Amino acid sequence: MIEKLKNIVDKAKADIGKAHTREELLQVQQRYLGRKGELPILLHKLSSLPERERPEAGQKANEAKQTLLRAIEEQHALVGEKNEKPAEEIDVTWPGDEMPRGHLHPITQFLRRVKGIFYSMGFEILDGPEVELQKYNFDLLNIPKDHPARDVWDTFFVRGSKEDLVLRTHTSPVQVRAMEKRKPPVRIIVPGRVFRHEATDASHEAEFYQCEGLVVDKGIRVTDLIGTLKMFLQETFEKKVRIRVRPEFYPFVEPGIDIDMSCLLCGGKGCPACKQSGWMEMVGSGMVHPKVLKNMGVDPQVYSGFAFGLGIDRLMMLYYGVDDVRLSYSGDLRFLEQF
Amino acid sequence: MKLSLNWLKDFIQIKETPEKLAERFTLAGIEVEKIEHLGEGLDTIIVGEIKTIVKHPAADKLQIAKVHVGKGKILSIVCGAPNIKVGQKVPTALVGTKLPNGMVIEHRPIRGIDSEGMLCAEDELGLGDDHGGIVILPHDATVGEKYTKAAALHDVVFDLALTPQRADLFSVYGLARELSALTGVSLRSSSYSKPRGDSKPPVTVHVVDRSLCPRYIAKVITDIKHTPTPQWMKSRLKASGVRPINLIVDVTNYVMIETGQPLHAFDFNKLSGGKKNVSVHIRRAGKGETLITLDNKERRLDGSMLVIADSKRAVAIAGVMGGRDTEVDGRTSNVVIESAIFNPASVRKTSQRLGLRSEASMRFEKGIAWDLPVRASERVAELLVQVGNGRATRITESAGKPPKPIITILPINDIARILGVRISPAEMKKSLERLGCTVTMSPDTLKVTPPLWRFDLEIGADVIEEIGRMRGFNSFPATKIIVAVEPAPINSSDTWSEQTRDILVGLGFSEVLMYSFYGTKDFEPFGSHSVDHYEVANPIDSSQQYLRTSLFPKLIQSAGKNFHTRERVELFEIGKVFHKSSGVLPHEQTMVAAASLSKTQPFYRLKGACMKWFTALGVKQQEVVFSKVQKTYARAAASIAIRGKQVGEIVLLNDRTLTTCKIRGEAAAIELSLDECMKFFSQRGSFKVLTPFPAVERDLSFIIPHETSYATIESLIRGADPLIINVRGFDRYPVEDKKSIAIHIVIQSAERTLTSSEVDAVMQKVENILTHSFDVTIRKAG
Repeated sequence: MIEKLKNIVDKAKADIGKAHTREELLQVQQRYLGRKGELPILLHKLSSLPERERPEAGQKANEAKQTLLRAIEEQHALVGEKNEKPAEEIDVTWPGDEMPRGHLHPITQFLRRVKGIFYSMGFEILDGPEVELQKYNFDLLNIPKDHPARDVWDTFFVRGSKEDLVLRTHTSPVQVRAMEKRKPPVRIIVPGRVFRHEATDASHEAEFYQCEGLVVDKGIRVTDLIGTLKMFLQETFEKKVRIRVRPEFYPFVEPGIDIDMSCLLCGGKGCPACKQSGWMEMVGSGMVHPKVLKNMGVDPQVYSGFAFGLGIDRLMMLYYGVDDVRLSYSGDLRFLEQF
Repeated sequence: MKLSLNWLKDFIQIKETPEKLAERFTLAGIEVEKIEHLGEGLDTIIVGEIKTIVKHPAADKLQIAKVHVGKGKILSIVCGAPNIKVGQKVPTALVGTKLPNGMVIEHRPIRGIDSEGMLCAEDELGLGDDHGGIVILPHDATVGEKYTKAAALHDVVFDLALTPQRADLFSVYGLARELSALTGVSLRSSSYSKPRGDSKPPVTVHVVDRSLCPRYIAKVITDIKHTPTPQWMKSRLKASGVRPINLIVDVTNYVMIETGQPLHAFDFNKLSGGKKNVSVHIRRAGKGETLITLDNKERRLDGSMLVIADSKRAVAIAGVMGGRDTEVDGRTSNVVIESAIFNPASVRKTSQRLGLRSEASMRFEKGIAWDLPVRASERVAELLVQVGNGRATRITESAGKPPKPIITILPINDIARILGVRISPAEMKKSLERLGCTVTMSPDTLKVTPPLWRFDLEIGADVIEEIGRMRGFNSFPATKIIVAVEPAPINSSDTWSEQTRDILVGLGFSEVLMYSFYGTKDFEPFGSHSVDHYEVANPIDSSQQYLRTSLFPKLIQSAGKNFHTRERVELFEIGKVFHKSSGVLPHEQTMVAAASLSKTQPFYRLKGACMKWFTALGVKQQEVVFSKVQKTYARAAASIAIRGKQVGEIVLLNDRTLTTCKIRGEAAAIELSLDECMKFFSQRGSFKVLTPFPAVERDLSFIIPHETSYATIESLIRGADPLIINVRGFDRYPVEDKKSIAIHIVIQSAERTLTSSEVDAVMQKVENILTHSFDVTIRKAG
């Protein structure tokens, strides 16, 4: 037994001496000390020795193992010194490899902020058709045919159907569609693409994104509308904001209310971006018109609600400081890769 | 609408600065978009009197005028305008004046003669575009006085964004009335309704269709002198954005802006019977009837349109535009002034059909208060008598019954329920009364009768808004909605869309948003036809005439544009397409499309990205099948199915399409219906116990006929032995008329470590099954 042990150690020492790379050394270690290595196999046979021989054999085997581990360690140091590549081969200031990384459109990124904020306030996220019936885009929203109020929306009309189809001019039709399947209390937002027939310039696009919001419940008040939208603006722009609340006309709300925010660029002193007024128009909103509530199947004597519309492109542009809305739809990577 | 502050002050005292006033208007819902200060910087232009004129010794077209500018001071000014005469009073710019066009007046010699100032033409004063001659001022202008004062030029103009429901605000008087309600400052008394002239009018009025014309007033004014419009009136018209024309037209425009009542003046003598007696008929146009309007265009009329006619023919399109033949001109001295109420919807329809929008039609569309026509026609009479020395006759009227006011009974509790602030009943009553309403209170309700001019107050909510507006919404506190905490339902299609974006971005694709519109030039290269599309009835131009049925064309174009400056471009878009449907609405589908452009063909790269996306969202590799299809625009194309359901396609564009799309390289594109794909997505991964036994990896390469698809080979190999857990091709290249394929095979048992002979046996099975099935030559196994 002891003889065998000695043989293994000698053989192993010789092999260790011959190992010139880390790889070879690992193989030698595996061969003699690994789970199925020669030394463990021999140790396994210890149990077959007579009782009195066991302690001595055990001790010797242990010594052999320690000897080999030391030899490996020494050889490792030797091999390492010889084979280590010189440190100056890596220039740490050399550029890293070009890894592929795509970019999310800034509209997407901004919409995620908007959705996140409202979702945290318990709003459900909905979608609706982009080609709409005039009934939903106008009539049910208290914008009757042959009424000058319709002029506010420059509308694209769609051929190819018996019905009066339009490209939705706002996300508001989804208010009515959503309420066909829901009962108060309701809190929803509807982000999506809308269409206006107008000439494009740095601040106007024929296609852009809006986010509609609707809250209907018992006891919803104008002050709740102001509070919710103020909270939204503060969360979005990550700061305390000053707001200004003024009446505005939208046929589907009464009272109709616009929320302005103190200009982000000049802080309210007046600059070209806010047309010297110190204020920027941020949200169109109001208390849902009783006729519209009725069209939703909701009793205006019992329930009340507010609705709002956010111009996502405009808000996104303010948030990032983008100066031309058309860049969003240009597909130009020089623009997109900035986000 | 542009509002002149000077004009506003005719009706109400204003002490605030223009900026404060603008804020007050804006906070009350009358948004001031811009404040303009007129006459600024023109204070060194003085009224001068021309004393002598002599010819310039060195230039034929120049003259030298000696101009008295007050206090005995005489300036010598070189002038090129031919219209100056001794004794005229003219605007004289002193040295140092900076004109609105940027020119600075200097003391300098002109062709050798000193000039100490400049006589000004209209364009040089920034008042218009006339450069025909020097502006000649009235004889009674005071020499030495500032020109801005003499011409009433100093003014502040507010550019207002008025809202369509407030018809009552489209006038100077209406805005003064609103301001009075907001501030509590009372209106100066106005003399509008005072009748002028009592002689019998030589006109009769016959309204044939009462529903289209509830009230029509004609007032004849005769013997109007041909005097120029006074400077103050011209200045106010210009400040309001209206170009002065002649006295009569100017007066009707002036009164429209002041009162809100659109007016039309007919030349009495040009109307049939205009020598003695005229009869005016308000009727529908006859079929095929035509009229040449003021803008010299012949208009085809139809039975839906209302016209004003004399005994013979139509002379105006009611509320929209007058006729050329009865137009007032420089020689007109007798007029019929029309002041009427027309049906708003009818005027709107007619003006839309004729493509004619005017200040008048815009006001008629919004509605005219019942008492306005009388007041406005008397005001016209007042001005034409005052300024033009005309003689007024009594009004002639044809009217139906005045509309009944809409009385609202409003529960007082509703006001706090909607507004969220406490307002005392006394404050409510006072607010509404200031706005002209009559209010009766009971302990629980308000009974509100709106004034004649407020036909927008129809229901309780309208009244609540007025109460809130008078208090000032800007003073309202911000409160939080009180609700039970409940989790908002998750919108899974939104979630899948967002996850898709994240995965594609992680794979190196950038997101674009392209138009939903495109044109035939965009989709025809992709084998699509206009009949498959919904068409926009009023497109911006023909390149945006159809609603897209595929994201491909615009996505690939935009990738191509970016490719000019890059080695590789990879883009994606998530957006809606519009397919023809048998239902009422188009079949809208949310699609995800991606394009990959590079110098070498990117088909497999894009396919790989697609599979990464699928597997990341829980679709298993083996559930996805790509089947070859033919596309006219593609070198290779495949339809993609998940568990047998077709979800999209992938293409490698052919050279012709690449050329059409101006791509110098290779392009692959993929388009999938996100709506369909997400039916197979799952959020929750499934766990399998990790096996402790090692997997063995072997490669096999062989030569096989070209037409044998990889999918067939893979499924055969997978079926060769249950120990084969993965198969993947990693190399392929043509060898003469066949192809060489190398495949990586992973063999593993869940129960034990495999011996090499067991692995060899599996590989042998693979070789056997391949040689049995195809004409195959095994090259190397390892």
